[in-house]
Amino acid sequence: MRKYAFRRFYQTIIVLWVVMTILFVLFRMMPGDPTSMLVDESLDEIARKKLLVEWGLDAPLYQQYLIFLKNLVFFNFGVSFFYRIPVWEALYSPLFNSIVLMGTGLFIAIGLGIVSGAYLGWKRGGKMERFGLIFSLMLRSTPIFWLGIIILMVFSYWLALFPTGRMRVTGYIAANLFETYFSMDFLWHMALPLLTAILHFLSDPLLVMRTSMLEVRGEEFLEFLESIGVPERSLIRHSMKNALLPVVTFIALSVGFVFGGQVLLEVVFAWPGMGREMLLAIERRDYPIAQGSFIIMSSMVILMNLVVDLLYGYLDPRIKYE
Amino acid sequence: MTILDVRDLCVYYQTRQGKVKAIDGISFAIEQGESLGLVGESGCGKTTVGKALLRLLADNASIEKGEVLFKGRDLVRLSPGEMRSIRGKEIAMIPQSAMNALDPVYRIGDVIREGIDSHREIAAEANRERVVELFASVGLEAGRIDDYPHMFSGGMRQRAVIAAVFALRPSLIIADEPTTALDVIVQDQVLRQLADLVRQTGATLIAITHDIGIVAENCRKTGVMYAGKLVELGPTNKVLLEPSHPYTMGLQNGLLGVRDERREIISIPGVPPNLINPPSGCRFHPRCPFAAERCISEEPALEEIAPGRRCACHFSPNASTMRLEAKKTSVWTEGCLP
Amino acid sequence: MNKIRSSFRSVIQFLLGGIRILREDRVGMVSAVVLTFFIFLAVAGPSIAPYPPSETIYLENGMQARLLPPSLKHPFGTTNMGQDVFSQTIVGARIAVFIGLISALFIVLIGTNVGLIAGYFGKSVDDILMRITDVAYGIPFIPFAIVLVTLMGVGTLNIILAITTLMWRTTARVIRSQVLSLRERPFVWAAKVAGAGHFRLLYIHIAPNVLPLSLLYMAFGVAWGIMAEASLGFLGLGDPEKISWGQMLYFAFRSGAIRTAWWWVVPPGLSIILVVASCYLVGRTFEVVTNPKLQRR
Repeated sequence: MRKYAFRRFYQTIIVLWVVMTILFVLFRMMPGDPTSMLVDESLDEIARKKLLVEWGLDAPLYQQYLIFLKNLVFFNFGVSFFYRIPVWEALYSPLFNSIVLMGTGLFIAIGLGIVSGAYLGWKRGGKMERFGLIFSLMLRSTPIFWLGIIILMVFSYWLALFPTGRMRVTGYIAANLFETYFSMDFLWHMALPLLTAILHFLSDPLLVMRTSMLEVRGEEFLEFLESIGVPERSLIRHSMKNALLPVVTFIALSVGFVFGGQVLLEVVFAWPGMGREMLLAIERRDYPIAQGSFIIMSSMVILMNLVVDLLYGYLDPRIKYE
Repeated sequence: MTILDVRDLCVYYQTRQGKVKAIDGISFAIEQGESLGLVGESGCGKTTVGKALLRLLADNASIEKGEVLFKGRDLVRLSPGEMRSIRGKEIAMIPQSAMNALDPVYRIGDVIREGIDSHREIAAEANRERVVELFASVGLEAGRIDDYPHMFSGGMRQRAVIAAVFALRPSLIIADEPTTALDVIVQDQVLRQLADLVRQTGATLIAITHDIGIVAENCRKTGVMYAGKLVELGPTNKVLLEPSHPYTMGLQNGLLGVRDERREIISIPGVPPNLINPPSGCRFHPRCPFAAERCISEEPALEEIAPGRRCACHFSPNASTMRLEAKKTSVWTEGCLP
Repeated sequence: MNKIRSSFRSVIQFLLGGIRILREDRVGMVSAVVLTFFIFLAVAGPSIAPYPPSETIYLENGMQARLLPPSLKHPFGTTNMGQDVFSQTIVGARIAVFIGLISALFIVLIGTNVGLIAGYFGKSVDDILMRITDVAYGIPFIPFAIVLVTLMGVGTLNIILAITTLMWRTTARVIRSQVLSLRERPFVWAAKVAGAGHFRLLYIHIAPNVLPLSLLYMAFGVAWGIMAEASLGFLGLGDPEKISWGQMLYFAFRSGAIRTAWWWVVPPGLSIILVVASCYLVGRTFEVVTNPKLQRR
């Protein structure tokens, strides 16, 4: 296990480095001269000079690259043109908002998906399976933004049960952090986007778990367990544990899609998260924010992939005890 | 005391091409402590018999007819719950391939413990000691009960499986091809272990195999199956040395002892029949060198031809003559009915 | 030469076998029909649409036919600019199918080759290619597409580029695993002994065996491509000169019309669902062929 973890770790570092390099190249190619990437025209001479030095914008490209990397390590992504504060500071809350929404949604969706997928896979045939399959297929084929719009239309505009967007009512001032995120108002605002996210991320774990269960069901060790008198609920438990392994690998893949779907979801519900921030930044030509948010999102995806890989290594005894 | 009495058992599989009559009217009985070997070619239905006794048949198979009386109770009529409590405790099966019989993501000791727990025999603490005991009884080290299956070699896995099966000292053990996929030396060790355990626990053994050698060494009685039917049943030495059924005689020809005179191995021409539409009358008649008109129209019943011996052939009284004839190659290559 | 001919023949056989399987599986058949219908729309769209999709329609009294609910004249109603939604939906099929098919083709071409080469050569080649694949996995698609389109401008080709640059990753991984298990098989060894070089082994012996899997991922690729294009369209990054379903939703959302104009929202969404679901279903029918374990016991 240790060898496996170590290998995964150093691979992740390499991938991170390559991705950051690609980002560097991409953003340097943005329209306008490179200095405008990080330095706002409206700043005064002294502030400009300071930034030029900090980012090495008067130095040759490769030096800029090294400075860029160095700054990355210290979470220095520049200063936002629009907000006029360091990018990291500006993105701190949107990042948290995104994680709260997507994290909860993904967690619930994967949990529900695995359980229902296991059930469908175990009890083959019958109306339940057909219905479950059609339902998941339809969900999988539905664009998340359209789903969001429909849910918004039904529950917010027509039934007037939920707000039409944003994270809380305008002008709300929370007493403390706990209140910020656990108040009824917050939950009320989170309800619809959360529902959309859960529905959207439900179908893949469900389908993969079901397929995995079907494959496990034919395995000989289950037959043996049954022959020594193990009851059905334990058989299901054994199946699930075996079926879970491929699902975990699959979850690693879907993590990458979280940050894509997020942008769309946040647009529909005007949720103040990272994705929306990035889009607004592009519109406002606030390149430091755009670059910073992209860097953060990529890093999170890569790190999540690492976490899931390690989790897989931990769950599969063949790897754990190599 | 008769521990198992199978009466006219029929198991059919539903497939796209039709109903496969895997077992079509099998009857036999075993006394407690006896050992019965069921031999036959692949596809003759012997594995199905094993699975039917435990009611572990595939989804598309069903017991169409018959009774399986185990200690007086008809297993066919039992509810799933009642059947489950019998599995492992009273009747257990050593599966064909121990390689895959153990759940790869659970520790071996835990699997065995779970088998015991499912019958609530012993308190949790004693379970661990019990597993250590079981391991010792099959020659595995106590320290390895927390290992995962992939850490064990093939032979060790087979032994672990045997330990799991004997955990609750079932009265009836079914061994399904107990030595496939093992090399000869390990085969010998495993069989020896199995025989010891059977003897120690006084269990009744049914060995299902295509390897006549195993049956010859371990089983007091032998039953020969062909195309879903039992064609001969009796004491092993009699059945193997003085077969009464032409099929058994044909099987005999395939065996060559070290000390036998050199001769060609004569194989039974033809292939086993399709079980969706089996041949009329005696199912062996297309391949039998002694077949006559009667054999095509009338199915022979499994009748007693001597005390403790039964045979399903119209010409069993002529067994000794047929035996001599069967040793000649020419009899097999030309004498069969079209 | 003979080998190429026989590989070709086995591909044809596979396709024919596939059609036969589709015939047996009613669901697969229905999906294939649906897909064919949309392809027909894609080709014939503009000719059969009742109104030019971008044209503002005027009522008798000279006013723009804004946000009219469905009627006989306009089965799907009109947009806030008086355009006929029905015509827009029909014409939108063209961009969706086009981008879907082309992206899928490239995704499969790149992915299959990467998988083949990585799986076959192993060691450092495999390592490098797999790191590249990891990088592709590490970059979230939509943010990347946003940046790319902002950089290079809107346009169909740029969207296809954005989709293709990342989406080949799944195909690559899957094909690679398949190749890893095929590599050890006797037929490969036999060909090697007979003197086949790397290129021959890879493309004439191994490749035809991964082809079913590739085709499966081609079906998925079309589905992903259409989803991706719709998503980008919704964000306003689509080609403004073309009508696409995602873009229709962009305008509907931006104009606030979703409060009431369900007729504008539902048709493009349902079209996307229909096409994507059909792609998955057709793909699933093929999946049963490549993975026999899934067939009923």
